[in-house]
Amino acid sequence: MATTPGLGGGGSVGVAFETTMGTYEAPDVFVPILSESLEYTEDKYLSEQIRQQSIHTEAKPSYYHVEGDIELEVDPNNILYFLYATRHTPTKTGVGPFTYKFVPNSAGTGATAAGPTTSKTLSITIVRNGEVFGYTGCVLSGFEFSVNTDTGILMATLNIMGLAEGEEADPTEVWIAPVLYGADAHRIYLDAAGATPAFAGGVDVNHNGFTFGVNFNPTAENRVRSDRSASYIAYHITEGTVSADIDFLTRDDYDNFVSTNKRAIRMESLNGGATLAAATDGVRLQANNYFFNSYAAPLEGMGDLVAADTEGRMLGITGGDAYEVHVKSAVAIT
Amino acid sequence: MLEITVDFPNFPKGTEMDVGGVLVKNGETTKLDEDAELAFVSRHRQAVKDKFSNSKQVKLSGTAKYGPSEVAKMFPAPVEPSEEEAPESEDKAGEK
Repeated sequence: MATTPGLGGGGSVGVAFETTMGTYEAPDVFVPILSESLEYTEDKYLSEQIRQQSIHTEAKPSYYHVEGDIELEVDPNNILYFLYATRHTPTKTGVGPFTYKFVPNSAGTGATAAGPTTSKTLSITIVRNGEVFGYTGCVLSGFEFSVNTDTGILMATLNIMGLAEGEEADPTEVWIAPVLYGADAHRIYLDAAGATPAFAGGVDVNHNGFTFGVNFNPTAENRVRSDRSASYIAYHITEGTVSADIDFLTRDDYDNFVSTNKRAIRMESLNGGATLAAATDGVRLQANNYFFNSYAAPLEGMGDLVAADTEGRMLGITGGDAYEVHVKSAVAIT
Repeated sequence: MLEITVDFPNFPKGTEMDVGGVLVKNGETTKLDEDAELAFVSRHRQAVKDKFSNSKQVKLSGTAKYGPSEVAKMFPAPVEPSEEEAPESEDKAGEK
């Protein structure tokens, strides 16, 4: 127990795959983060009894769930744990390093099962100034990977939703050397939409930043039972977006926007090689079928670059997947 | 002397791991001599065995030089400051 105020830097976040959804597991891996905001989320019941007064008379605990974000630098050693706790079908190939591929599915709820080809739920352990918080039944309600041209680092914001929280035993933190994707790691490729776009046209060098986001629009579902924690997390419509500021050179993308032409885009962030196959580790974010939902390229000022502020929306595609997330890593998920 | 063994099955053998400030390779054992144990205790203000008591992946063996009682003597709990008593009033106007 702390006896003096503490700093966030003294804390830790650990994650573990759950064997049974909602049953706490001590951390399998500790994840260096930039910030987190997981919190107990509840709308307490306030009684409005009419009893000759105009102030609430009683408060009762109500149903609750846990919710919040984790921001981190993408690291192939730990991002996999979070990607397994999503509405994706995972596959694993290779003999080490391994290549994991996550594609969207239509699961209605979070679930957990053993093995590298099944999605999972997470127990997330957070130590704040010496106090231990164990969040259970956690899945990603969405995520956003982004690169900006200020830092050049591949970052992620992971939106978490879980069933319950409880005090747990003090974990033993173990850290490994970070593996980040810096300014020289990223390549963007463009192609026409397709089930398996070839991206044979070379690297595109006109993107001022890149954001790849997916939102599963989940809800914490409560059921009548003698427990205030959420019963399960339900997924709803998946929304995928690709956003970027792009140097405005020709009307081509603007015409694609007006005509709702479908395109494909891939961003790879790699270490140790120019392709995912050759790299020692890497992340590939790929939208196979998207259209520009918004596109604006105004003359903003005499000294300002002419650039297009764009947002694209992903769509399903016949014979393929709306999007794919690949991670190449030495970590062996079993 | 203590020995720390680390086993993270998902990580490659030989991956260097920082275990409470001690460098241990995954799948291997590192000895912690008395100086290293004292450095660990000073950093964490906790006996080594207490620090690792809840770990699935970090195992400890051997004999510790600094147990919980020794650590408690090294780092006693801070004493809460006591409230100062208010001095007696010097106002004697009410006295006869």
